Amino acid sequence: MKKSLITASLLAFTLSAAPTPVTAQDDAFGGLNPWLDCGIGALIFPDHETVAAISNIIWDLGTTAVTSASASRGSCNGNRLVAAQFVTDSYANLEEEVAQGEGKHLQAMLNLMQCETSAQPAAINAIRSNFAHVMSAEEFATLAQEQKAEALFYVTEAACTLS
Amino acid sequence: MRMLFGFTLSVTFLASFNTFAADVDLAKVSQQQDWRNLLHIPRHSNRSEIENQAFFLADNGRNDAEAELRATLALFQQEHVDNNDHPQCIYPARFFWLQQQGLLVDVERARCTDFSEWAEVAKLESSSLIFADGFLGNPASFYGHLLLKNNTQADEFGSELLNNSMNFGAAVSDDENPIVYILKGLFGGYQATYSASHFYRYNLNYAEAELRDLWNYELNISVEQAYLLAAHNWELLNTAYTYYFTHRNCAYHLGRTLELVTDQPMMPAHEPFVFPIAVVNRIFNNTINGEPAVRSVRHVESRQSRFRRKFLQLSNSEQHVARRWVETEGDSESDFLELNQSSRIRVLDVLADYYEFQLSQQRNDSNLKQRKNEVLVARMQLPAGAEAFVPANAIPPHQGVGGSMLQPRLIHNSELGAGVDLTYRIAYYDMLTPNAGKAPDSALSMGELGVRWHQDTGLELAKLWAVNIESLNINPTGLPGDGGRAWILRAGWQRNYVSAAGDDLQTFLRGGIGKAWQFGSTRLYTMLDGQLTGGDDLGNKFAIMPRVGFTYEFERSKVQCETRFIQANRTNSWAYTCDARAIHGSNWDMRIGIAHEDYTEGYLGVTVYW
Repeated sequence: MKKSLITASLLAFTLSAAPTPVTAQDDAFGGLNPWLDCGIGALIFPDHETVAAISNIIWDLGTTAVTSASASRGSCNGNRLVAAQFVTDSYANLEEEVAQGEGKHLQAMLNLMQCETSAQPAAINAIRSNFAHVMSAEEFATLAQEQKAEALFYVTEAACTLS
Repeated sequence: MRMLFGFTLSVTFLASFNTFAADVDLAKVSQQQDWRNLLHIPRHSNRSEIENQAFFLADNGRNDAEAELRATLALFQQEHVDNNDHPQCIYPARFFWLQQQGLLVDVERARCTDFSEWAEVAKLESSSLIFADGFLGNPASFYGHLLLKNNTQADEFGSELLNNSMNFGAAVSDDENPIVYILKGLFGGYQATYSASHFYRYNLNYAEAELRDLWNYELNISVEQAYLLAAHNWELLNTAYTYYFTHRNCAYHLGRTLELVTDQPMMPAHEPFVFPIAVVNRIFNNTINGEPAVRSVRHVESRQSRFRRKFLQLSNSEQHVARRWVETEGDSESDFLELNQSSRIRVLDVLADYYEFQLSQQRNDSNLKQRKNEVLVARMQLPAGAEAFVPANAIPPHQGVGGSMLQPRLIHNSELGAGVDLTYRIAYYDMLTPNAGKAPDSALSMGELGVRWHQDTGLELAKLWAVNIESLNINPTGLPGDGGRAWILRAGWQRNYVSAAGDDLQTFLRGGIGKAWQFGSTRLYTMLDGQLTGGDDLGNKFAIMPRVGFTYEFERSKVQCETRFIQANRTNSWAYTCDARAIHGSNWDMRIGIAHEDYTEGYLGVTVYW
């Protein structure tokens, strides 16, 4: 519950930090919140503890891969939802590339969010500037990856809309 | 869902189809290797390796390539309300190939939007075989893994992250008992399937989380062949197989799929062990359309490799500031501010990699999350643009040796005299094996069998190591959490030919931990091992063995020497060993070595890899 309040505050802060009249999160997904309603969550990675891993020592010719990296072609597969999933999964790479102002994950995110090519340089500047404010919030580092991704998604959407 | 699966053909329908086949020798077409490859029927067999009947359109399609061809041709001409459920859309590779053979040329093409979007047909350009290498820091990842990736035109930077990729693996429940897991993996207890996902997810899983370097072998294929492969991959998403860890694994089945485009076969039918590295070597040495099968090889570094490479390129002062930042948890502003802007950016970029590398091992560490956040916020205060680091220059795995080896040696033992021995290793490598495609400073062997002959003893089993894993786990950066304890785990049966306590075959279990350091091409290590045995002639059943040693590499040679003190429950002794790889080629090396405990022996041997 506390984390939800923090997220809500951050999202509000996100929107205020982005100098835009953003209402994207209200209707971007037809009233759905993809992180809540479409089950978007960060990838779950294998346990790297040695004891657990020893049992797998000689058996990794494919056996560990399928359960952790498969994707369905089922529900929640619209372009914007694919973008939301990408931002959530790749958040660690994205926050670094936002900080650097370039990178292939950042580029893929902008393409997925259909950010006009001509507008992308300005959008990247805006994302960088606005997300720096978001990341500077005291509680931001403690948020779950999905929550951080949600904040980045809306900052990006606002930046692309404006640029 | 693909509603077509489960369809069967009526006799009436097949009969009506016979008129179509009148001027085409369908029996001959069905025996073409391409058609058999599409059905995954191996050479020298008439039975498909795909086990689920739902994949086949004829009742006897698994065992009868011609019946499956006739059934396929018949269904492809059917009208269908929903285009994506049309047989052409479920078997796009079959349809494409049959059209290439001059069949079905007048048949209207279905609009297969699901497949077209999945394969990004409009932009499809080529395919890649992706090799994920082994990594001893994560023992689940020792042997490597393979993927197939669709490649689209590289006109959009970052687009490859969103290309679809194929994975093959056994379906294992998350809470599987480890013993059951091993047994079922060995003896066919799991069903295996293909799965597909955007490449970025595999990159996250393997390179970012499991810290495995990826190698992208782009195939030298035409756009039409890229389409055929992608279309066949789409078909394979609804196939099932019995999984055998040793020989019917990802390497085998992806290798079989590649035979759709290669000039020469990739996979012999009866190989007892199939390793990913062998498939990489085979594709690299194969041809497609008479040209080399691989167009380019690209290295995708793991998070750890990337962090290490960049850290080691920092200047001394930059490394000092990075270390201070980590030691003081970011509270070393004065050091940081002494750097110029360019150096600050370099340090912060490396620190971001470092903290994310740490987080990949400790996902819920809130302190690490906070530290990384601080680094990124500091980075955002500086101008955009990545600072240049020199790209990685690692040796690609196809330049390494094969996974299995045979090693004959000539021996002279001060007690037993001259002799010979022969060692066979199913997989994978030892401390002296050439480095390409393997974790550095490590050994990993499974099923290492040695026999030896001396005149006095005759031919006898010298050793059978069930498992031997060693890792020096060196920390090249000096930062906390990068590398750590060296360790060894070895178990099986062996004789000790240099001990006066007898050379009976002993069951043993040995484990140890220690620490290693790197100085240029030299690694120093110290270990404390413990060993349990079945008991020697002097009554020794357990021992503590502190040891120190070094490895040194120069050009194509490598040497490892160590001394250890063996404090057993009844006796103690000193032992010395020195082993060297004198030289190596693409699939062989020459070894020389000496060992001394109570007796002394030396050897000269040749290792052949495949």
